[in-house]
Amino acid sequence: MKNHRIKKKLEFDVPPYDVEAFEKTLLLAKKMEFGAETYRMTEIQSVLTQVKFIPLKVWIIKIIIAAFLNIGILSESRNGTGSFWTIMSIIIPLLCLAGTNEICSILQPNLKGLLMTARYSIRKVLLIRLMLFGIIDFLILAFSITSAFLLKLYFGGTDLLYVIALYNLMCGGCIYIINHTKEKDVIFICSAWGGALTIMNLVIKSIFDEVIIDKLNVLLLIIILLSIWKEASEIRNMLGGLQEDGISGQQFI
Amino acid sequence: MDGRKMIKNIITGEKESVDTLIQMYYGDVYAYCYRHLFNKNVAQDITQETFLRFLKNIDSYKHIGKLKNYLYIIAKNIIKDYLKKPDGIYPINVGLETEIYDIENTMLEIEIKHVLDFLDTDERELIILRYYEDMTFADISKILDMPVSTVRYSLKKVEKKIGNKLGGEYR
Amino acid sequence: MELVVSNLSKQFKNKLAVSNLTMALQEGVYGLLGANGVGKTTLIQMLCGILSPTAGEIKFNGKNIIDLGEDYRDILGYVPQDFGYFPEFTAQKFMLYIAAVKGLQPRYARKLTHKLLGEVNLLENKDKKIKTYSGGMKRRLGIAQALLNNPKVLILDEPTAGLDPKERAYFRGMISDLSKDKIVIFSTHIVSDVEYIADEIIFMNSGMIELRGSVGELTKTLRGRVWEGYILEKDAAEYGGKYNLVNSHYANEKIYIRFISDNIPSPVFKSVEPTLEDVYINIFSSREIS
Repeated sequence: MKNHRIKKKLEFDVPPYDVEAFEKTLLLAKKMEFGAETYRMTEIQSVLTQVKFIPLKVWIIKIIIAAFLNIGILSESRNGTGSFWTIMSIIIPLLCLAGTNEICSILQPNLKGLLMTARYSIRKVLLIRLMLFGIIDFLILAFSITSAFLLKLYFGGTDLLYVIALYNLMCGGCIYIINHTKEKDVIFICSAWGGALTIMNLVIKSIFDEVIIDKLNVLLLIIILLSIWKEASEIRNMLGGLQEDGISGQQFI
Repeated sequence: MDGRKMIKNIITGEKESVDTLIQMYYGDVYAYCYRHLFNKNVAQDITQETFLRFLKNIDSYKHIGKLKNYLYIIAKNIIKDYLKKPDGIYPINVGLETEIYDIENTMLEIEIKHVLDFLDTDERELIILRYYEDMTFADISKILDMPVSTVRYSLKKVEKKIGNKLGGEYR
Repeated sequence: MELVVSNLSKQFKNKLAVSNLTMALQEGVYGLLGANGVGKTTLIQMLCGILSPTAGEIKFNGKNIIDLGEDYRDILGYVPQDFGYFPEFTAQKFMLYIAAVKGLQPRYARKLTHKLLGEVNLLENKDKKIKTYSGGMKRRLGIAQALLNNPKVLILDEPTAGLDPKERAYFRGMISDLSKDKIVIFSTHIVSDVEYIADEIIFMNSGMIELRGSVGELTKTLRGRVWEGYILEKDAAEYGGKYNLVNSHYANEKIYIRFISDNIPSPVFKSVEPTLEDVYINIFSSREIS
C-alpha cells in the first residue's frame, strides 16, 4: 500500500558512481584477510577431512582380512572341507576389531577434552568414523557373501542371519567396551570378546545345530534385533557422554 | 550464485567471490547511500567502507537473512556515525566536505532533499527503504530491527507527514 | 572483552568442587593459584565448556557460553595438563589434525602450523612421533595447538607442572608474550610461575575464591608482618606451632626461619618484604585445605 503520489513526487535519479571508486573498493577488498585471519572450512568439510587422518595401516588390515575371507571362500568352494564356518567366525570379529582402535583413540580423556573445545562437533567426527567403518565392513561382507553364493557354497537365509548376528554382536560388544573401559585396555578386551564369540559360534554350530534348527531363524532374528538396539544405545551413550560428570566420566571396570 | 554460497566461498578463501559479491551489490549500496547523503564522493566512500567492514567481520555473518539487507544495515550505521560528526569529516574522505550537497545536485534533488530534511533520521530511513528501495515490510522490519506492525504504523505516520509537506492533495 | 562468571557451582556425586564462584576477567594474564584438589581444574573445564555447571553461568561479552556454543569454541584455546594424542602421530600431523577439527583450511593450516611450531621451538622435531617427546616438548606442542585458531581466551591447566626450571622460565616468557589483547588464564600450584607474569592472581580454596588481586595488592596485606631471623634448634617446635612458617633451614647449628606474625616476637628478627609465597602460605595454612 504505497502511496503512489508520494512515490512519484520523491522520485529522482541517483547519479552513476565513478568507476575508479568501484575499482578501488575491489582492490582494497581483495587485499584483506577476512575473518580473524583464518581460512575456514565448513563443518561438513572439516568432518570429512577426518577420514584423511585414519592411518593407512587400518585400511591395509581391512583389505588383508577381506582377502583372507575370500580366499577362504574360494578354497572352500573347491575343497569343501567344511571349515567355512570356522573361517567366518574368526574373520568377522576381526573385521570389526580393525576399526575399533581408531574410534576409541578419540575418546581417551585428554584428547577428548581437547577436541571438545574445538569449533566443530566431536560427535560428528565420531559418527563419521563409525559410519565409515560400518560401510566398509558392510561392503566387504556383502561382497564375500555374494561370491560365496555364486561359488555355490550354500548360503541360505539362516547363514545370512548368522553372519549378521555375529557381526552385530561383535560390534555392539566393542562399542560397549569402548564406553566402559580405559582406553589402553580396549583392544585387549575387545579381542577377548571377539575370541569368545568365535568359540561360542563354533560350539553352537557344531553341537546345537540340529537341535534347534526350526527355531533358529527366529532366534537369530531376536539376537540381531537385540544387538542392534544395544549398539544404538551404546552409540548414543558414546556421543552423549561427551558432556558428562567430568571428562573422566566414563565408568571404569 | 546466491549470497550464502558467495559467503561460504569467501570464508574458505576464494577471492574471486569477493569480486562477484561487490559487483553484485555495489550499485545498490551506493544508491542507498546517495539517497541519504546527496553527495557522490561521500556515498562512494561509505559504500567502500560498508564492504570492507562486512568482509572484516564476515565470520560473524550467520545467515541473517538477505545479504543485501545486511549490507544496508552496515551502511545505515556508517551513515549514522558520519552524520553525527560535527563537520562531517570522515576518515576515508579525501577532501573535506562541510556541506553535504554537491554543486552537481539537480534542482529536483535539492527539492527532494528539502522535503526529506523535514523528517528525522528514522522517518527518513523508512521512506528511503520503502519508496526508493521498494522493500517489503518484512525486509524493512529486519533492517530497522522493529516489528512489522511498528513499521506499518510508523510508515503511515511518515506518509501523512510527508503528504502534508508535499501539499494537501498528496495525503 | 569480558569473561564473567556468576555464581558458578559444580556438584559431583560426593563433592562440591566449585561453590558459588563469581569473577569478571578482562584482557591480561590471570594466575589461578591453589593446592591440588581445590577445584581449579573443574573451574577450568567449565570455562572451556567441557563440563556443564550445576548452577550459575559463564558469559563471554554478555552472552552465555553455552548459547554461543561453536562461536565460543572458536575464540577459545585450551591447553590441558596432559593432552592426549594419537600415539603414532608426528607433531606436524597432530597439528594438522587439530587444525582440521578447528575448521581451518589445510593449505592455511600448513602455513600456520609451521609458524606456530617455530614459535614454540619444535620445528626440528616436527616429524618425530609425539610419543618420543619429552614432557616439556609435549607442553609446547599443547600450546601450539591451542593457538591455531587465534583464540581470544587462552586457558592453560598447570602448564608448568613437571618441567625443569629452564623450561618453566621459557614458558613464563611465552605466556607473557601471548597475553596482549587476550584473556589468559592459567592454573598452577607453583607460586613463582604466577608471581612474575600474572597481572592478577586468583587464590582458590575449597572451590571458592579466597583472595584476588595483583601481586602488589596482595603482598601489601602482609607488609610489616613477615619476619626473618635465627632461632635455636630447641625453640623450633615452639615457633612452628605458634606461627605460619614460610621457610626454615639449618644454618650453622641454628635455624633460619621466615614466618608471619602480626607483631615482632623478639628483637632478633628483622622485617622483610612480603612475597606472594608468604601470602599463599598465610591463606592455606591458617585454614583447612579440603
